[in-house]
Amino acid sequence: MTTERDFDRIARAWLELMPDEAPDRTIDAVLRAVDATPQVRSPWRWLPWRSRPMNRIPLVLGAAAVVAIAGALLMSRTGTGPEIGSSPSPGSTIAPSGSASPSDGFPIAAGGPLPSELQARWMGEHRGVVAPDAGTTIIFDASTFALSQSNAENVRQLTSNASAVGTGQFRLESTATTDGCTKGDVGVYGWTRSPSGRTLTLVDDIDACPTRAGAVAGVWWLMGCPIAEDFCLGPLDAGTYKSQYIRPRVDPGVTWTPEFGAITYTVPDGWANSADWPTTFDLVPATELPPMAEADKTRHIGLVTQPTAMAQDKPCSDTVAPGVGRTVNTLVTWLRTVPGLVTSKPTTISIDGHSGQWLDLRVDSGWKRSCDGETKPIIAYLNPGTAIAGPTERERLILVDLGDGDVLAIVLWASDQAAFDAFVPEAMSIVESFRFK
Amino acid sequence: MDELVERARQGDRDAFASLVHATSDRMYAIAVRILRDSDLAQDALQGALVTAWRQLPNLRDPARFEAWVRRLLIHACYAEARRRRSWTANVRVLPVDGPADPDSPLLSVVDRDLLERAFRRLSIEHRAVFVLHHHTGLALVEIAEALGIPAGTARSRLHYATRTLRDAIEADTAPVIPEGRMA
Repeated sequence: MTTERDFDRIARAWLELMPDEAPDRTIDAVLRAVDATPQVRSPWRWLPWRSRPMNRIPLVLGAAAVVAIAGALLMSRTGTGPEIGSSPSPGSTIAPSGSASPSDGFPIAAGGPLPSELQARWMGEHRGVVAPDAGTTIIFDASTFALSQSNAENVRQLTSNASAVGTGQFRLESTATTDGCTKGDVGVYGWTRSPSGRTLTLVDDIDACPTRAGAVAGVWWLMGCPIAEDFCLGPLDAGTYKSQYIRPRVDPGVTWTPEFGAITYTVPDGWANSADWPTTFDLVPATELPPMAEADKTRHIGLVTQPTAMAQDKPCSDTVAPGVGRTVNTLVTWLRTVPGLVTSKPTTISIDGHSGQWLDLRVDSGWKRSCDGETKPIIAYLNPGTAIAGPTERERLILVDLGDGDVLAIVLWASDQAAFDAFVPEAMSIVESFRFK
Repeated sequence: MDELVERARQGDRDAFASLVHATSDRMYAIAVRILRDSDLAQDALQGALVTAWRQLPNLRDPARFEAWVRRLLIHACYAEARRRRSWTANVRVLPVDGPADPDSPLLSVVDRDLLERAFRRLSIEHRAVFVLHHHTGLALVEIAEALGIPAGTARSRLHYATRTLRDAIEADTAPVIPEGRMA
């Protein structure tokens, strides 16, 4: 047995084995990038600049109106155009789509910083500029725009300077010749948000770069994850959504590749997506999001891909129980033999045409065993890391056979029986809305 | 350093270069330990420092510069791990490179190998907490602040990571743990 002090010494010694000096080439690359990168100033720093050129306002509005008309005439595919009330500015010209660059006399000059409502990360369907099947992320700050593959935000594409040019409109100007755009290409887009601000609809009024026009226009969901690095959507409006990262059919050990919309789900008002990872996905009542403390949480729906039985002679380890196959039937049969785990009679279910079984779980009131460092009685029953604690927690475990040997575990968890009883009907309706790609 | 930060906030690139030279080794050391890959760590460091430059005017307290950059770096590590996601479902086997360092009798080659394997199975979030605690020496409260997570979450992540690595070196005669997955 390794003592705690010994382990700490071993861990520190092991960590010391890695290098401590940043390579010079990395520092050089940083300094070169800094030389070419402007700083982002807080919006208030823009206010003096915005208020100074008063004669700029009618010019911008007039130009925006021209674009609106151009949009109406040329871009009927976009349906509704932005709401612009001004008449065309004398002398303005309508630039046909495909020729709108400053050097061609495109009439829209850069405007002020983008409104705060746009400044966020937004998630969208696959676009042709990213890898096949991958989802897409767009990021606005006060003065820039970039699009990236959803799992590769460091690789910015279609990078553009961005500015507001009228009510409900913004202007993009390419900062590099790449991704089918030429540096300086200008586009103008209309934008509207849902009343909650969680859904953004962009329409391409005009853009010299058709690649960007095709990629930017469309519907985007706010990535409002309370913990930004978790890349989830956060609170949701009632409606139908798609997953971004989870891959229910990817086996452990197989390299993950992105597939947008592997799961489609429908939620009523008041729900949130709190996690979306390659092997797990969570939906919770929005009230359960941070800042609610972990200890205070009462309900969630959790998805785990390709679950396996956890060995009970090595409790709380990642060890697979020998001889238990990864099929719905064998897992259900095995679960009913797990010491201390009280299970209901299995019930069949069909989700998106895939058969499965569900059973309710709780920890026997006499069960005492726990995991290291925990005080409650716990039974960890599925890999990876799926457990139930006693004596009050309740779970409904749904195992779905996705075909070809792929199994998905769906856990409806509640902190106690009353919460469980109230939670299950609504949670089950969400689960039954799942559609698998 | 506060003066350099203030100058850099005003757009002074030379001042920022001095900050880069002053902090990049410490930041790289964190990134390479979390990501276990020099190339990924360099990318994360570069991304974090360029972001720091861009966002520096919005940093309210110059004294918080290093903690703030560390947070940007951890986020960049998360992004790198996600971007290059073969995400270590396959555990690489380290080459056996001779006997243990005689100055480090606690750390045998077997321990190194076991720790490396177990560490690569941890999620990037668990790795970050473990490195910030055992390498950087941050208290749990500081780790929670650095990562933007509740202290309880930091504690449970450290507990899980520690338990996983301890189990690895204590159970080296046990059957091989099946390939883990990060979530």
